[in-house]
Amino acid sequence: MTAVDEAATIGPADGKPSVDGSTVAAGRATRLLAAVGLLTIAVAALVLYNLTQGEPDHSLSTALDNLLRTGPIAGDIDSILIREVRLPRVLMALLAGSALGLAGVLLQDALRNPLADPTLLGVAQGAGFVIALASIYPELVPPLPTSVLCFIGGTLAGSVVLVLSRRSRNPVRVVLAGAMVSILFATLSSVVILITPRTRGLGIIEYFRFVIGSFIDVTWDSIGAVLPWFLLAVPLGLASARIVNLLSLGDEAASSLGLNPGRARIGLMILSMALVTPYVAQIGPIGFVALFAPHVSRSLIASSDALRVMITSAFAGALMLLTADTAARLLFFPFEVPAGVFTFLIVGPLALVIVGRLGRSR
Amino acid sequence: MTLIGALALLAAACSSERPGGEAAAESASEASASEPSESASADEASGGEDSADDADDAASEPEPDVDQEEDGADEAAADEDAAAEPEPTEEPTPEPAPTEEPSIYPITISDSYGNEFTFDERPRIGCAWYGCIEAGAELGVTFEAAIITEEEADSTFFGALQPDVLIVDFLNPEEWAAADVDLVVLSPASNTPELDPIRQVNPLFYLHYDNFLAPQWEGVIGGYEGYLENLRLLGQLMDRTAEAEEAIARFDRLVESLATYATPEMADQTIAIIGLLGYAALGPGNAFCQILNEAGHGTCIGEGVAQILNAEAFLALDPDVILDQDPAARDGDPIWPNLSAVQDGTVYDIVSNRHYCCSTSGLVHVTQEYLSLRFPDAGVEDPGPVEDFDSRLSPLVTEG
Repeated sequence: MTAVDEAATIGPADGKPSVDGSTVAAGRATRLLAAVGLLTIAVAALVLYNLTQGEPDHSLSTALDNLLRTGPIAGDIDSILIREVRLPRVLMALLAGSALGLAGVLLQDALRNPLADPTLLGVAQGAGFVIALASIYPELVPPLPTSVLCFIGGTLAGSVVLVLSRRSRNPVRVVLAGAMVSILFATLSSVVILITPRTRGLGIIEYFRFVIGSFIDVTWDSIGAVLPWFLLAVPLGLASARIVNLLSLGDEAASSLGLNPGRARIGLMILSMALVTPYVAQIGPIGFVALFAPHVSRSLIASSDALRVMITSAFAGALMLLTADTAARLLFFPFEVPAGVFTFLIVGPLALVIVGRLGRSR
Repeated sequence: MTLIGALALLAAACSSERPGGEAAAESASEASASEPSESASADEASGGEDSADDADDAASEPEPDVDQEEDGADEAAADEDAAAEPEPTEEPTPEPAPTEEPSIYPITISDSYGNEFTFDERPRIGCAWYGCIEAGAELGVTFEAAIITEEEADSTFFGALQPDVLIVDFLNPEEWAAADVDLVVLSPASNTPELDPIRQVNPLFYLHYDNFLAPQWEGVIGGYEGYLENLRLLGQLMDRTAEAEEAIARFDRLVESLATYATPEMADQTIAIIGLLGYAALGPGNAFCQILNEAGHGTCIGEGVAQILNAEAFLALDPDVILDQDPAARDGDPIWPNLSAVQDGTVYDIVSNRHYCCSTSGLVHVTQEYLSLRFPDAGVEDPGPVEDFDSRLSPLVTEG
């Protein structure tokens, strides 16, 4: 059963499914609900753990009390820690993780390549290059918000990938072009650093903030910077599920169903850039989440329907990134390790284990 | 060194290090740096035996005899190559007139790894590390070549002690050969295989590790003590032992001057020096933290040379005194108003960045600024822009 067939058995406009189809659909829906429910419980537990743990630790009731009450908090250390320090980080992890999880599905399904992710396609490197320029040579870039600069950089890199692979319908070629562009922009960033004299040293520090990937500077302002992008791009991403399902059939089949695969692919890639690049500006290019969240999602729900995978992948991404940030903040307290390190050290291997185990059981 | 310390050091180092081959070599060096290079070991073994011959040779040879038996053939070839190369277009600045005192040559000197070198006359030196360049500037000498860029030479890094040297690409052996130097002086962190091509052209002389406490390299002295030892070594290499002792005395006077402002209660205070990566703070292993502590001005928070802290951790540590290089970063920070130092008015916005990385002689500048801010009634003047600052003339280091 293809993703479209599968979607048709449960979709709202799917006519009269067969009895067998209903049974399968019900089973898949149950599995989806179970997976989302499980992930939701895990995320909620981790959120509460995050809000209560630190220096000092707080009780659950104190944390909830501070979350629910309104009004000024000046001088109230507990409130400041919970509401102004920990909560923005938690929210950023949830927003970024879910956006990355969603973007991973879009890219992998649109390109029909299970290894596609923003890093492999040069999007993160393009955004990082612009950040390098803006940090070290601000006079060379227009005075725009960092999130916009990141989007421009990511789109630039993605556009180069699309141009390089425009005459090929082979998704592998797109990924190969992406790998080339990734290397190109990573090299350009290195060149910027290499030619930077000591006199601009502080610019390099700013750049490293983005390269390492960390939640250390996340504030409510950071949330304000990414929230509009999230509110715009996530619904669009979810709404594109049918297009993704059609693309998963193959270009010829998609064309026969009235879809222009090339344009659809470009649109989905731009959408994935809008999902990913704003977070590069705030927390750096966090790796692994966009790559593995979709795989974990597909394994959990045993489905390839794009909408279902997107929803589960968004939750899985949020859980992965929140786990990484929790470890980054608390594991070596008072010292902080960049969260990007933990996505590689913890989330990556765990995701591999899960995917491998469930893959064998299929 | 902890992972965090390493990360912070990486960030701090990259803020001011020349981020080219040297930085790459240094970052890659930790695994191999504890082992002296093969050629240097051979030098050590052969140094004593050949010294008499070297002295005889030196009488007829215009080039100083650097005792490098194993590399002799290569060196000769390199010399020939160098002779065939056109002379450097930029002539080195003339040295001051030689002193009347008898020459210290021939002299045998050990570098930080214990490799022995024998010189019959002052060698022509190429500097491949900021630590060498700034120590030389403090001695008032000019090297035959260095790896700095023109912009760096005319920058805040060297202040008024601007070197005027032939600029060489660090990892390019051809440029080193063309520079026609007898010895390349560099960081102990650069004891790596990547430097083998340079080693083929010139003997490598490793200094000690100034500014930050050194990693565990056997024999290498870290922190500002390493800087003082570097002054001694360069003074011997360049026949400027008196100037080296003067520079060391100036540095000692800096610490003594700083100590005169300390009060008993200050010794127990904690200090946070921040400005990088939000609340990332220098640790007690930083040279500026070292002299603050030694002079009774308190102890820098954390451990090691630096650490990345988040706002919550910084609040938990709650330092008594904060030296902040990036005050704009605190705007709107909900933690900031709740810190004891902020409430007590012991936050000082410093401009100088010479204590962060890569300038130990430059500590004079930041120390003078620190004192002018913390003790505004004591009459210590703000040092002004570092570009115009001559550390040798600071009232903190001049006698009387």
